Amino acid sequence: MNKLGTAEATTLLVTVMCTKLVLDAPRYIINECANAAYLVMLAKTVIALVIFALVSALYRGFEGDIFDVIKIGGGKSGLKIFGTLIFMAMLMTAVSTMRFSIQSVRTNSMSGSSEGYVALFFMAAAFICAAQGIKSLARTNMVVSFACIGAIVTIFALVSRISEVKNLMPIFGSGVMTLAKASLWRYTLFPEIALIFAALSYIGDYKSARRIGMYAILIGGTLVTTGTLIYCLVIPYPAGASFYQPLYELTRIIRAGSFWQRLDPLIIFVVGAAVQVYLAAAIYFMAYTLKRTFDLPTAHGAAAICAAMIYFLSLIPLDFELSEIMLHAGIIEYPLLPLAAAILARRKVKCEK
Amino acid sequence: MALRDFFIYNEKKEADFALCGTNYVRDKISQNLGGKLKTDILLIREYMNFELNRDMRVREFSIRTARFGKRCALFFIEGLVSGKDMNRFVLSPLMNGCEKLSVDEVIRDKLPDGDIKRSGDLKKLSEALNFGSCVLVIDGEKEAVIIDVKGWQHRGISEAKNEIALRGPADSFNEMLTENCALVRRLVKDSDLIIEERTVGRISATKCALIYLKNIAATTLVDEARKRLGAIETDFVFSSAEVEQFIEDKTFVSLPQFLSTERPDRVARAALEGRVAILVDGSPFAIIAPVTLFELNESPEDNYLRFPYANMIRLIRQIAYVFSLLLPGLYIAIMDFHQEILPTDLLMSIVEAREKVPFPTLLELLLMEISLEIVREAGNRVPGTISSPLSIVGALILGQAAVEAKIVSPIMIIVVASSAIGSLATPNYYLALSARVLRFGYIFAGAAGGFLGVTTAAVIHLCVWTGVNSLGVPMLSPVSPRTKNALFHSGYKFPVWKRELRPDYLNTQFEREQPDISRRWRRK
Repeated sequence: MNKLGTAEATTLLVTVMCTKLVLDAPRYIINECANAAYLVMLAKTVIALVIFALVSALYRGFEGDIFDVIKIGGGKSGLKIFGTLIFMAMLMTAVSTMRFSIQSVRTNSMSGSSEGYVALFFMAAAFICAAQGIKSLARTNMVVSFACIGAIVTIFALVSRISEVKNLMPIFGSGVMTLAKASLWRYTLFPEIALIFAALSYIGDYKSARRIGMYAILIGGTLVTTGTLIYCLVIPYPAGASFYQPLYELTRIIRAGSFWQRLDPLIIFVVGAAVQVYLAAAIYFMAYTLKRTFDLPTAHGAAAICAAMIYFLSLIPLDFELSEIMLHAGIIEYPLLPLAAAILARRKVKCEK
Repeated sequence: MALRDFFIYNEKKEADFALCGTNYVRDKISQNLGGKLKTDILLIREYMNFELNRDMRVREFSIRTARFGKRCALFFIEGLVSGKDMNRFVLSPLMNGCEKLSVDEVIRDKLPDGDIKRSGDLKKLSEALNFGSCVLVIDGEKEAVIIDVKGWQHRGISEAKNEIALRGPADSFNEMLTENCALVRRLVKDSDLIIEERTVGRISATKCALIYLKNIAATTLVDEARKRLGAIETDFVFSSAEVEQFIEDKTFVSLPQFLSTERPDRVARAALEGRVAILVDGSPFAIIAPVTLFELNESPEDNYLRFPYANMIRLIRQIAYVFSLLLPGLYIAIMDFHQEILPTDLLMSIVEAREKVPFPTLLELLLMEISLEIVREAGNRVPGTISSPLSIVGALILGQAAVEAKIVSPIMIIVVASSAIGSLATPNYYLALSARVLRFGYIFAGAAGGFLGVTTAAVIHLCVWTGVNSLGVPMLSPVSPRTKNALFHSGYKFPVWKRELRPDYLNTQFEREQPDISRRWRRK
């Protein structure tokens, strides 16, 4: 079995969870909560930790991954229904990330290329990496995630000289109630943490999974909260609620001598690599979900189908409502499905006793 | 065949491409000596193709013993044996013999040779003859005596040509396996240094030596190396490079999975660290495994340098490797997609210089890269005396002429030359070659998608390389997968007194190289 180490699994989860958030979440939250967005991020991280602690506690005592637990609770037909739902939720989140990444790369420096052409690059890397297997993927991610975190921290450090504490005032932004609402609802932070329950056979036992999940949420939450805080400090509201990606906005401000006229195209390295690893992990686990749900002999064919589905769905023009639904699909992936699966399985075990 | 059967995978027992008849030369049927001299002589003559081979020799004579004397025949191959040694240490003692001794006693007590074996198997006798021994067949004996009298001409131990160390030892391996093994043993004076002999190649019967330290190297590692060496099924192998390709994990990946060296001190160091080395008879290069990507970028000189200098040079080398790999790809990405990152003045001057160049950037770059590769290849093929003038002519005159003729722009010459110099700074030739090959991939990726294309190529490249193992050890360890003492073995050097642990990814039997306090003196 391809067992992953703690560092490999944690960084994979951090990449999978944070890619979309670091790149996009500050903009969304600032739209709603103004300059107190970082407080919302902090609150969401704490809530995510609590929910994860609860959900993972429910899985204690079961052997196997989420699919085995679903099988206990809902039998074979239950597994098929739940598996399909998990697959669909994963597909939605992957498609929304892909759509968003294509848009941001095109807006930034490939405006002359079509969406389908840009998407090809993401999909080629994602599919090849997924086909290499989970070990290669996790090891690639070790390098990619450290490079990305290094780049992001460098950007934060370079823009810190123009940060202004005044920009954080008023401290509660658009009001305590709005903050509380945004913290509890809006869209769930870290839906991809559900992967930990699916990838249990690669991690080991629930104890390791719990530890890795906690690490991942803490690292991811710190990164996202710090990022949002720096974004709020540097770009005052309402300028911060712009259409551009926060990282591009921050990089555009950096002055690095006259040779580097503009540094923002270099962000493509960070965005591109992180999104490609994210999509590779998504394809791998979607194929794995199909394999476990429908008892397929191999996941390679399923991976090709998943890649094609993500590619084509990400190119379909969507209206605003539909894209909001896709964004909210994360809540099904986590915590609803893992929670429901664990509760059903516990009930079944209790009834049998 | 039913349609359903078409999709069912059936394991192939035989290759599709087998020619009529056998695929390869069959092993000769093993035969043994019969004990009658005349028949045995005929048997050996036939087995060794005496009628066709002009260098096969046989000398019939009698061994002087207590009872009448024994008829015997001495087989040898001219040129492989030392004539003087054979006359002095084999023929003379046997012919003079002793009237009071039996044949066995004469062989045991009168032959002053260190390596005497007995065998009746014709295959073994043939191997011994081909490896410079002479074979003594005695009337009435079913086993012949193999006496080692090697004496072929060979190159002496000379200075290392490719891996020069200013302060390290200068000697290098030659083509003689026994001498090469001795060079290693001279450096590691320990009884646990094991030099196992293996024969590879059905026809060439090339001797290989597997070198490791029994009490340090992981047993699983040694077993794996032994298994892979033993599993080579081929007619011939002549060099360590061929053996390397037979036993490496992934042959379709450009990354070299073994470290090839001509220096005995590097092999000795590798054995002491818990690695295995393989020497092949007839090849002046040893191969070492497992190695990591970071170790491939180390030069033998680093071991003898003080750590700040070594680290600075290693960092420069790593930058040079990245340059050689990425620079042309990044250049084309900037020129075709991301001109905005350059200052306007510089961009204008580049555009101005390119104005009269009739080719698109991609074609211009490919033209230069391919020309450079041709010049480099030509430099390798021509005799040493004219190779450097040829390179200078190629690089300077052709480059200058191309710029003046407006075929390429001056900035292109800078980019291509920088990447070429970067690959020359890489100490491992095969690693530099991999960069030269992969560079083309990055060029196409950069031309197709700018920075996104380069990122895509880099992620795929990284993902493929992370899956490569060197004799079971991931090539990108200790960084990915990360190991416990990754800090000490991820490409940078620490002071000699801080070299306490062996690389943990080697899973050695003893992790510690030296105690925590290895400098047991005090400053007054």
